Amino acid sequence: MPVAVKELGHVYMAGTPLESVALKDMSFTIQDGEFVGIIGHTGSGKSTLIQHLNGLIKPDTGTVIVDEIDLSDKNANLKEVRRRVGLVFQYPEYQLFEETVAQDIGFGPRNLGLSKEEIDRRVRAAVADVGLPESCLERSPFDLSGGQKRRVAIAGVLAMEPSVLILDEPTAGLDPTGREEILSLTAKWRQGGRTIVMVSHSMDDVARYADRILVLNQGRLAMQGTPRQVFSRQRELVKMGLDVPEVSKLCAALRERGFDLPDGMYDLKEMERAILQRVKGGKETC
Amino acid sequence: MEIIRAENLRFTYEGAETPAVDGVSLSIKKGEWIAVVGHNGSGKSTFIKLLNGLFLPSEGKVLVNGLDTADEKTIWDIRRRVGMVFQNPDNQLVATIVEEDVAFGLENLGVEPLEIQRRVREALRRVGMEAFAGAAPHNLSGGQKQRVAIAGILAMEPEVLLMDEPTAMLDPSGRREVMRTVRELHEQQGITVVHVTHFMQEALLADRVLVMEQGRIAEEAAPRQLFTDVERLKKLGLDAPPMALLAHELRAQGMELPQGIMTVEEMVNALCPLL
Repeated sequence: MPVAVKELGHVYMAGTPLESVALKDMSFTIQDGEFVGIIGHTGSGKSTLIQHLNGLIKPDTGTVIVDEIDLSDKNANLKEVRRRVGLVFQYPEYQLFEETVAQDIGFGPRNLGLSKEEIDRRVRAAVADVGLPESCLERSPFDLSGGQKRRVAIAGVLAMEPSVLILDEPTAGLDPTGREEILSLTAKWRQGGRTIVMVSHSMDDVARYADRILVLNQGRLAMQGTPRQVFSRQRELVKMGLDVPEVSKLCAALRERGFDLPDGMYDLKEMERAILQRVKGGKETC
Repeated sequence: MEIIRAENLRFTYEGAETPAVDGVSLSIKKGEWIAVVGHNGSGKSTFIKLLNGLFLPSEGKVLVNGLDTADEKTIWDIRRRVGMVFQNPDNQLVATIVEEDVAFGLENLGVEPLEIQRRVREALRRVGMEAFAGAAPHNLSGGQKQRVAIAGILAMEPEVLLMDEPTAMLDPSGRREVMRTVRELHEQQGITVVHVTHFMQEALLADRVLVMEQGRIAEEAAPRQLFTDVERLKKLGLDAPPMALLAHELRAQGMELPQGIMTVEEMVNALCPLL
């Protein structure tokens, strides 16, 4: 289900002294099954943008078309759009409220009016998809660890079986192990051709998993491209207040000294191979 | 000179079967910067909350300048000397205007109004937030809020700054802002820092790193020494800084590199003669 954003603009509190432009003239498309990373510093418009993708905010100007449904149309079936586009907010564990994990995950499917068997099937599938054992289904979500709570909250969105999953900073505040758990699960969530959109501050996380990266700056789309294309524009990224993976910094520093390395490297293993090759080749000097 | 001494600390949360902190002893010198790392649930947050008497140990004791945190008569004196910054920037500011927030602790101590003004101005200057004295906290960025929280502590003229993952909820520029501020306070005023963090790049700034595991100190070392031992780090569930990891992998492939490479600059300097 392709997502097409065209000349999208949004202004908060328009016509008041507090008016602020959040999005300006933004255009891009996302193909079925793609993994797209969105990066940008605080206030760059990331959150405003993703709320447009499932109709939580309606476009002021421009259009957002999701699976041929035009969200700027007054009569658009937003309920259907929200079922197809699942949005996981930042710190989603704060939104858990039910008495048991099973009830919490099943809340969305229950509201769809599905049969008891179907709800049960979806809850079990979702809990497996976030890598939790079925034994936790009858526990209170509040007895779980931080990382587990977050996974339960994500399972609640997966149980709606969305074809696009949007994750807003899914690893914020987790320790390295928890971060790794969530990131490695995204591969599972892509199964069946699901599209993933991940908003993140962490360049390293985005670099490893995304097919394509959108860089937002001051409400505009500043860059889009593969991780390699984006990280080769290091200076611009730093100017926007963004971090660059350490390996990309090393790549740029070595290139500056005259080493023949491909531009925009970001992967540690790739860098390791490139260095070893050059040591053995012994052609270059500093 | 020793400023904090922890003796055989144990702490068990109500209803928990195992202690969160299980036999920790430590001596912190005045002017030292200590980083505390370890995975979630290792007891690091509980541990630093014992250092200013926010939690009282179930066993053992904490002495701050020789004063016991369990002594009700001196606890307020201890809290004034040992301030704490928490993780969530939205849960720490109480007033509706920045300068009132920074003054909050001083007002509670009954400090003279003129002296309060002087100290608030000075504290905001030291964290680079003087231009925001009249701003409303909710209009600030996360990094700015954390700096205001630090100013509120500085106004109390403390000797020790405890920080419980102060940058975990900030974006990269907010993180840099806060760490730059703390670094300046440490270098210029010699404030003692105890810093719980998940970010190994931040731990590199410390004089000493403590690695906690199951409520105990599993490892204690200078950052460069600790981060060189990549295999050990993995066992402890910690991330090595990327350049330390790359150096480790290259050495494993037979390249001869100097020990202790942590930063991009060090890596470039080590590679240049070899390539």
